[in-house]
Amino acid sequence: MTEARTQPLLQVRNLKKYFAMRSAMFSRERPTVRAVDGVSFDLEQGETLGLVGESGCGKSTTGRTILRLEEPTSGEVLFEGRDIMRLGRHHMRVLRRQVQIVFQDPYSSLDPRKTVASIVAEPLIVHGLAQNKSEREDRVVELLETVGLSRGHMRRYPHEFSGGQRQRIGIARALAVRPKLIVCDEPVSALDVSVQAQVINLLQDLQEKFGLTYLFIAHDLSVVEHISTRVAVMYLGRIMEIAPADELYARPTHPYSQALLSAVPIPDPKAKRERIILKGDVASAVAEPQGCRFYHRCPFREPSCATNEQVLTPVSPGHLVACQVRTGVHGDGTTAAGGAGASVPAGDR
Amino acid sequence: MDKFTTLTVTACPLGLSNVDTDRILPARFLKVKRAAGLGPYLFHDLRRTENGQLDQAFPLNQPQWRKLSGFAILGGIKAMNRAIEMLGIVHIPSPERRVHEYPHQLSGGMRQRVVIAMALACNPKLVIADEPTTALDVTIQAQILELLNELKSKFGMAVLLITHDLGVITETAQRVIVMYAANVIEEAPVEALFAEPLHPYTQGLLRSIPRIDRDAGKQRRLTQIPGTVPALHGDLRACCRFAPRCGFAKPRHFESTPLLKEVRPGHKAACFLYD
Repeated sequence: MTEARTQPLLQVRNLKKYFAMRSAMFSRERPTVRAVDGVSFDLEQGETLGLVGESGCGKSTTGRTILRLEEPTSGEVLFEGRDIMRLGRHHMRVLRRQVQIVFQDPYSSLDPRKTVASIVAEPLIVHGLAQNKSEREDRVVELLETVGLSRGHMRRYPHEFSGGQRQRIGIARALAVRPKLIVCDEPVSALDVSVQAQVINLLQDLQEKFGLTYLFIAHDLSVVEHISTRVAVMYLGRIMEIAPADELYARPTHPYSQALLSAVPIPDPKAKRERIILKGDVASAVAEPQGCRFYHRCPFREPSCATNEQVLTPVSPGHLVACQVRTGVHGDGTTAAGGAGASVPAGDR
Repeated sequence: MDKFTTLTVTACPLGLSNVDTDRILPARFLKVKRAAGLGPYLFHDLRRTENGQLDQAFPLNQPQWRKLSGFAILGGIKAMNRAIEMLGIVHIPSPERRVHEYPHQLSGGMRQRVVIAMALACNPKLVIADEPTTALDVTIQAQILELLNELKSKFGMAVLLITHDLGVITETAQRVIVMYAANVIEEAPVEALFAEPLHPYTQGLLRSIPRIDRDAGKQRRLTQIPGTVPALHGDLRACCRFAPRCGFAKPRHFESTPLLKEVRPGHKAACFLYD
């Protein structure tokens, strides 16, 4: 635990992932989609960082890039101080034992032709974690019981299970290699409301039991608040605001976070509140190489927001906001009110 | 269309003529539907159903409008003007330009607006919206819900909103029907349902969702409903279908089906606990 204090489990530094699009007819240019455009954050041992944002904001790509399921365009990902991006094949395999992922769709992320036992045993075989067949089988049973399934489920196929049970199988598979970090990519969004609670509780129990660290990617703000210690709000490939969960939900500071939170319907007819309804849709991530990504939809924008790079600036301990209107800190380092303090660049260019 | 054929509208308090949609052939359905004042159906997953709703091969102008808005009699220019007018009503910016665009050029929120515009084009008395915002992001969902509320009061139409999101219900509905395994288990005005849910399933459902309006520290663990929704095929015995997952179930609850009855004024539930 003491070493966790000195060094975060995962450090992401200025991560970028650009995708080249098919060029338009007769055009020589290939437009690039800036799916992740300079994302930086730390993840401490044992905490849950929620990553929220609307579809297309790059939250899943961030998760996949951290596991090197996508090769990043640039940036660093340090796991326990080692740069993942420079690891060779062998070391990468060793690392994957410590970083696992649970996917969104429990219907397509399990091989329909394999039994549950062979799905859960596969990581054990790949990483050589069981000496023989009986040891492997014992471990599979143990894993299934950990996630609330039983020995009787071993010989069955994924289609015989409900969505919630399938997600449990996916979680058991991720746990098989005893990872330290699990990237949960929308793990409950495909599930029924009543089953969602079961999986959320399971994830929390497992975290307590094994001291797991989660990067929890979701678009459901209520779920993220419930499970996360800290939350990062993403918009068009950038982190707009990052803060402890209670702080973010009590005092959202970035105009986008405020609009996002006020848009969540609350299941209580008595709850009355100010609703900020944003105009327009999420802009395309293709253009806009400069200025605030949220400029076009922002109700509080200033003319200089269109050209100034926004940097994540602390407004209180652990609470960083990338908005010059709210923080008074401009991207070029000048401050309106003074006292910028230590500002972390959201992206350099 | 097959969804429609299983829907039975009988003795409708809306003043629609008693149409038993069960007996109508799909080919004649559109005509009857218009006569009955039923609007087109709003489907929830735009990506999957837009082929049925928005024809990919045509711009949003006349072929679509004539086909789907029920205004087959309108000539080209009239249909076009009407299309532009309807796009304006659902707040699509620069409708005279958008009307020439193809569905793939529109964003998800815009497409849902177009589908709503189509639903409204024939002045329906009833619009059935099946999860109209489930495939959308929260900020876009807020826009669409606001639009639906605005149009509802503007045109005085009834909306049957089908959703799994309890938050969406409080934002839009006045009355709620809760269904479980093909049965109606509770029916109440919105305030009554959220203030005092009667059926154990509704109670469990309301407790199992994380809420951003409550302090996170107070609910470290969510209350969960054990088990899963039963399969609805094969031999179904007469019993309370929620009984296997219910904390209050007694042996006799497995023997007969509870009937929906009024427990409080205007608040009905199908549960043996209120016998």
